[in-house]
Amino acid sequence: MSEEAQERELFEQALQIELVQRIDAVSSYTDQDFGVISRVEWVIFLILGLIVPSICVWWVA
Amino acid sequence: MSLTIEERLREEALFGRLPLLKEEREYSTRGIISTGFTYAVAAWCFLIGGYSANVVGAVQGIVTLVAGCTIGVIMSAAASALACNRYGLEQIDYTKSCYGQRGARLILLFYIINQIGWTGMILVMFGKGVTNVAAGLGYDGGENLVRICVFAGLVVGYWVINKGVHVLNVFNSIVFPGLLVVTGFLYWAIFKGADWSHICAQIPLAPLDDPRLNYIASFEYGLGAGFSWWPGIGFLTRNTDTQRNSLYPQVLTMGFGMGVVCCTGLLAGLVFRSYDPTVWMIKVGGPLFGVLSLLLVAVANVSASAMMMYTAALALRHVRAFRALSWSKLTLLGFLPVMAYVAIPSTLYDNGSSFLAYNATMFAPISAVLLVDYFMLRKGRLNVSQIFEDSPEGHYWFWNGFNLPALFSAFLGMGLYIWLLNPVTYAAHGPVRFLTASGPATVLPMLLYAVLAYLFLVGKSGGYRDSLDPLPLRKSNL
Repeated sequence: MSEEAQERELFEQALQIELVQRIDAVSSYTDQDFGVISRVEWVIFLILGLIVPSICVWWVA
Repeated sequence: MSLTIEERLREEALFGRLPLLKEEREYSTRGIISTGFTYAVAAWCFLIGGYSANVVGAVQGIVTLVAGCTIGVIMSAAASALACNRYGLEQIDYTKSCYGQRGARLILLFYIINQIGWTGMILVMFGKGVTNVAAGLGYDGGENLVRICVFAGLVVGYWVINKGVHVLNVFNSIVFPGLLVVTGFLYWAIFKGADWSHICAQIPLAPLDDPRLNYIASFEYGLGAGFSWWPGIGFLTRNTDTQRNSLYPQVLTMGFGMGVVCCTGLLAGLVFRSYDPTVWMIKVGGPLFGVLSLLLVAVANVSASAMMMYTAALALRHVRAFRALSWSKLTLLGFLPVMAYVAIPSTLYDNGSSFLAYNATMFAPISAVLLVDYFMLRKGRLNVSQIFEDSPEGHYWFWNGFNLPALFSAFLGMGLYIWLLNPVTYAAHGPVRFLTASGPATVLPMLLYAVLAYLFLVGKSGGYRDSLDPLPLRKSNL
């Protein structure tokens, strides 16, 4: 096996090990790790982002 | 483990498909807002505004562009942003949870077309800019000069992404502030020579016969511009530190902000009577500033095209057959279809509005199904290990790798869009003048998929009620 092929195989093995470790890590994250967008926030966000622009489009039409 | 392998793994996490860990995320609020603006304030904004100037006047154009961009980004970003942020996933990997391991490759096709289409469009814009500058200096290069420029842009882009994507940071550090200055100058130049009532009195450049349809077409351009971000959302938001930072800044920058910058192209197009930024920039800025602006736009376009082809090449790694290819061959593969823009640049450029609407045609239904799947059916939770599981026992294998109800709903939505408003011919049917084309093409797939999923998926296939704990991988797809 050439040196390049060996290096490639070594990297592939390391990649799979790293993948499993990272899967375990991200699976353990909870809501507290990234914060949660509350229902009230969602409602305000959707009103400002979807409803208001839609009304503007309808109004100007 | 050697340092080289560690470095390669780090690169694979940052720019490849390995899930990005919390401590590796680079963007806090300030970081993602500035990055978002860097993406949003791009040369294509001027072009999008120009297409709107073809069909509507100033007030209608401003409302449809700003509202369209904002709504488009919200619809395309909501599910992808939150999922990619929480799990550090790449966009196409995330879509596997909804469309299936093989079904996601069909979505990948639309992703690649989006990247190739925008790359070609902005490179032709670059070519047109150079041709117009040359014409101003007394040399008429014509279509052949455009072709040469597009090809040269491709060569430079290919060199950049093979040299290392970090080269782009150098480009962007010049381009972003430069484009902000150009945008500010354009607004000043537009309002210096004409008051608001004069601008409002300008009629559209090349409207369709039906005024209502013109309005809807402009709204669809705005929506198309917003939906165009779908492929890039995951790439950015997996690198953000909170759920809020994965969503709100994108809407502010790539939605609202982009809409505002698009209005520059709209107003300039109306006042200077050309949809093409490479024509009106010379008129606005005169020989000196016009040429400088065009040169800046040229650099911006080559830089943006390199970035898009970079993400397109990364996305091609999802196809097993391409995974073994070297990076230089993989990127070359991505560049080949863009050669169409070398062959017939002006034809494709002049029909760019169709491409803009195409983005809404494809990504509105795709996003709609993703929204239902992630928020309603999965309650915002995924089994990350199964994203990388390529065996038929995997949760996201569905039927032979395809989530048929999801794909059927999305394709039906695309068909409905095309029937309501053909993005190429602008033939309109049904209630498109009142409901738009994107509206029904979003709502119908949502409703249909919700019903089909409860009938055929939940509790039966797709891992909707299964444990979220990581499972050992039988056959990794990485």
